[in-house]
Amino acid sequence: MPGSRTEQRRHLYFILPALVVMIALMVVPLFFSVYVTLFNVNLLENGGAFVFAGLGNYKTFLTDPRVHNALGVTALFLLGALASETVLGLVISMFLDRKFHFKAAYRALLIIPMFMTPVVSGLIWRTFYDPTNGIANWVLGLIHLGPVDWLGSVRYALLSLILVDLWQWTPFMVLLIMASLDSIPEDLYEAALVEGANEAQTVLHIKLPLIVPTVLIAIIMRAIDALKAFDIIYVMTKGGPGVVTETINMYAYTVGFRYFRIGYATTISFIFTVLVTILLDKLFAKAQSI
Amino acid sequence: MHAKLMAKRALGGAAFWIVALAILLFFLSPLLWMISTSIKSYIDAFALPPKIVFHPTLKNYIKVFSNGDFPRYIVNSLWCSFFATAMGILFGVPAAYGLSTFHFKSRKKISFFFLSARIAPPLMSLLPMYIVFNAIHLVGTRFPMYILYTSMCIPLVVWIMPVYFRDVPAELREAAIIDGCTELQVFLRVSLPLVKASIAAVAILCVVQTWNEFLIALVFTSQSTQTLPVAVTSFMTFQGTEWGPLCAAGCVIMVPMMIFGFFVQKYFARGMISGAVKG
Repeated sequence: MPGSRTEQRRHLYFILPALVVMIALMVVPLFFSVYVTLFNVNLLENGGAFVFAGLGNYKTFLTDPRVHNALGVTALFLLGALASETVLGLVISMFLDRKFHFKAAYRALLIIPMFMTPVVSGLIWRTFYDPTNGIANWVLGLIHLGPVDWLGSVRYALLSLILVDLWQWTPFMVLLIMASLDSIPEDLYEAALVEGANEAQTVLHIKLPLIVPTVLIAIIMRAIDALKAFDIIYVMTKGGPGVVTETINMYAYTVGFRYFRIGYATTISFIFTVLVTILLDKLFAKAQSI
Repeated sequence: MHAKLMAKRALGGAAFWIVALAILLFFLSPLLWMISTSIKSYIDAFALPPKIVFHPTLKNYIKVFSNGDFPRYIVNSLWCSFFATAMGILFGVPAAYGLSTFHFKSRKKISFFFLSARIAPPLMSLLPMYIVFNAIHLVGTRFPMYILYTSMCIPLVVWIMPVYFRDVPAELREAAIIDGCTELQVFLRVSLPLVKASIAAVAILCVVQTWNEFLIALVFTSQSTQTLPVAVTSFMTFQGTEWGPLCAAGCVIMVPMMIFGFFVQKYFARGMISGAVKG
């Protein structure tokens, strides 16, 4: 039977319903939004009528200084978060890569931040960052530093947001890297020890190369989420002070749901989605080929 | 000599635990702070260094629940999460089964399509949806959330489940087919019972993800249909944030999700890695 028509079609009964729903909910809106980018749609003016604008929204996008700023902020946030989370994730998981009591419980506690509601986390960190009553400045005071205006200053606002992202998502890195380290066969180490390798050499020549694929995937998955980051930024800075922490996502939201310029907001998120998809597709192909 | 070695080991063990606990303290500090502040009085909440010994009070919780709307927000969140999770399982599990069991030409492409639905920023579908729902006067109801949350859950299920279906031995399927079962019967009676636990785990992930969702809820809900993440931002007022009630509300929202997370963590790592590698 394999290869016959019925064999080839059986999968459709299982896949088709989900496929149809997802096409209706993702692809149709995507085409609709391409259409919307060609119009000026302002929900506050003349009842949200579609006024044809041609490529006007795209021209605005290219010349809008806030777009340029937002692209830069997004890139900085992405690089800062990913780099710090990867390094810290590697260090912590290497450190924990040994047998110790309560290891499973420790790991379960460590990943709690991943499951915490981002909005609530953001609000809690806001209280930590409070310039007068916050814990962050108190901790700095213990080592005779600060006080710092964490969220209010041009210099530290983006860093403060990255620190929250690092707090929430480093556990994710640790979880994936630890799972990958656990899957390395014990006899590889033994063989290395017999050959006279020391601790540093096993880390460098056995562990690191074997976990590289997992780390790359973890980085890509983090990139996907970091590019979407909204909740924490919204409750902590709303893009401020000024536009210092305004990512593309935050700006598109502001244009769409503060100014109600839906046509332009759609254009921003459409171009951004295309850029991100191309970038991630390239990265993904690379990660899978390793 | 022996005693020296033992002492050195014990010292090494102690050093390990000091660092390990310091790491844990950093990652758990917001949670610990939230839980303790939720049962502190107004004055204790602001004390620095943070008070470890204090008179616990339930005032903050009473204040949160005496806001007549808060129970309603809980109900809203429950409805949105459960509806979308049910839809995600109903559509996603068969699709994951189909993608992992049968071999056909477009399999990779279809898998990638589901994956890309997770990549696209939510604003991408949210803006056109807003125009549509606004036109048919459904902005401010729970309906848009049902729809958009479903579109979040299906790809999550399709992403994570295939690895567990692949664990089901092919011989079991083949034997059932020889016994005269139809494909649907094989799916329902042979494969499904074997992946029950992972379905429960992925359902919990769907609940957590939708329960925590903020942007879509912020855009589509009105005063009466707010979900908990939107409602909790109302503790930020012009006079500043009300720390005690905020933390009490935060506990009510978060603690169930963290208990859930605790139970599904082992499925989480494996499903994500393999979903991403083989997807």
